[in-house]
Amino acid sequence: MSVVRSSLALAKSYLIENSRSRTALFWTLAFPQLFLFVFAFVFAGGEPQRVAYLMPGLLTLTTITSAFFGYSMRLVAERERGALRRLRVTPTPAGAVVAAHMLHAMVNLSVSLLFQLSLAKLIFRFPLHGSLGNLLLMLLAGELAFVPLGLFVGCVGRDTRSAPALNNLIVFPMMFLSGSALPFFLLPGWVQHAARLLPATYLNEGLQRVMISGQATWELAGPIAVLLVFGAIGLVLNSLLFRWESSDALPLGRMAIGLGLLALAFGAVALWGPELTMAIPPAR
Amino acid sequence: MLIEIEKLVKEYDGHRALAGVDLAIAAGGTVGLLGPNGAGKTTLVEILEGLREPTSGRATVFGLDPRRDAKALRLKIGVQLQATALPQELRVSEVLRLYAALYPRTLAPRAVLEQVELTGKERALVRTLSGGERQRLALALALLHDPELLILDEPTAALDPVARRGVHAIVERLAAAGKTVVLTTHYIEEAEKLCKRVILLRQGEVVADGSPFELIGRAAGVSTLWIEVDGPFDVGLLEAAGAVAQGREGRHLRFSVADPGAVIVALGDLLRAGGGKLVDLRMRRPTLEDVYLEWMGESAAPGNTEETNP
Repeated sequence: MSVVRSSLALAKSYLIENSRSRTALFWTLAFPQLFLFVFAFVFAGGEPQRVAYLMPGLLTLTTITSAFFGYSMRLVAERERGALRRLRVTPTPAGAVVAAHMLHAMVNLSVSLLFQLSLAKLIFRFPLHGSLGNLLLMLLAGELAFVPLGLFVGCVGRDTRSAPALNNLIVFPMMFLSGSALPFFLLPGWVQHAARLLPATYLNEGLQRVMISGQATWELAGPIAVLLVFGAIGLVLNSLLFRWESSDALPLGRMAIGLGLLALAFGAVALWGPELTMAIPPAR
Repeated sequence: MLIEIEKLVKEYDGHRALAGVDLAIAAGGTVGLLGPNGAGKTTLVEILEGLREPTSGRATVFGLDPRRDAKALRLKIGVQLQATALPQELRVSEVLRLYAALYPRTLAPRAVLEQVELTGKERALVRTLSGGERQRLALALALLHDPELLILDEPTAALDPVARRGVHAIVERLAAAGKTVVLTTHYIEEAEKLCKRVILLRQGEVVADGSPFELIGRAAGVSTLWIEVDGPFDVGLLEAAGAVAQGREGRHLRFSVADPGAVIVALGDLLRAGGGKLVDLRMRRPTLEDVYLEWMGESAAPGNTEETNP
């Protein structure tokens, strides 16, 4: 009970702080729209059909960049400025702090994604072939995967100077191999095989199934399952590796367990992951 | 005993921050940990707060191990860290509500604000508060759950004299209300004013421990007497009573004395025996600062008294 109360109170305070910070509002609401306009005007020429094709990749990009570059860094910054240390001398458990950061990230990310989606629909009037419910379900699955994975960097990142390097290491392969920044069909075959291991590929795949192919809920089960597995791994990693202070040593034994689990997840996805049906862009 | 510390050692990368500290602190009153930067004060209180693991030795607070029993202990102690990172974009009342949600039971936030003299600041954003107000808000967070023991790490560091006096008044009221306060400071006058017991730390070791009065009493030969006598005056009789002549300052003769009472009696005898007429007699007792400097290895010689010269 106290964990729930503590995490809700903390999440609420993070949200209030966010809503009062112009910088935070810019990065949460305005910055992702820059990608929307670049994608929609530069790559799709503003054509609704082509914008529809780009939207899954764009929503995937917004999800992964916000989770890693935005919300994970908040945890690192809180640790660096001693805010976690102040919480540590209260009875607040580590789990409540991680849960609060997750909750804050998910609320913000939801607002960001819905704003992007609404703006795109309003301006470019792209067609949505699947149901809105399925689209929201898929976005939620993406959040449940990437928010915990992003917070993994928040947990292990020592400070705001070194954590971005770890973020880059994780985010850039996902951006370029998942079909979100570059069309998947352009990637060489072996790269496509490698991309099958990445959770971002399944978010993009799932969103394409809903938004472009209009597939039913049960047809989303495969990508959602993969995303939830990675989300669960993220939660385990966070519970194993959370640090109150930068000076706390990284528990290498626990790190090895976490990475072992991650390797198992990659193996499971390689063996039993759903087939990819990535869409081809419509001809001009 | 509220706090028991046995042979406590803390090392960081080969540097020994605490070198085998033994202490016992009873409930009630204010206890000051005094020492220069790097003396081990913060390391010691951080071990008591459960923020640091000792390299060896043992520390208990309320009979609890600060690391193993951290959750139970944190309900009983209130902590003000050396630097409290407060949420800048929250209002004072929101910060109090946030921290109140982290404890099962708390005092009414309004009552706590009154205690730290922040009434009327409820709606102020933290980033708009002055340094003194932030320190008092940090103190309010430490008081919110009505802890029996308060650990304050340099609560007045970087505050102006007026703000410092405000914090002193709060600490005095807390001690008067029966709380136990352990505070670290490097302000000697703060320790002398607030603490019933002062523990001097140097290079990770306790070098002196007692009430300010006891510590001053223990300081060797640092009282200074200035005597101005009109007429003949034989200093030999005063020296026989234990006074050590330190030369002249204007028309005054200056002596350092271990036992001022005996020297004053000898002076009276000397004057009655026709050794001249006493024009002026002044005495400076040693202060906690002298004791501090003596233990910290600085010169506390009676000659270093320019600021109190007659």
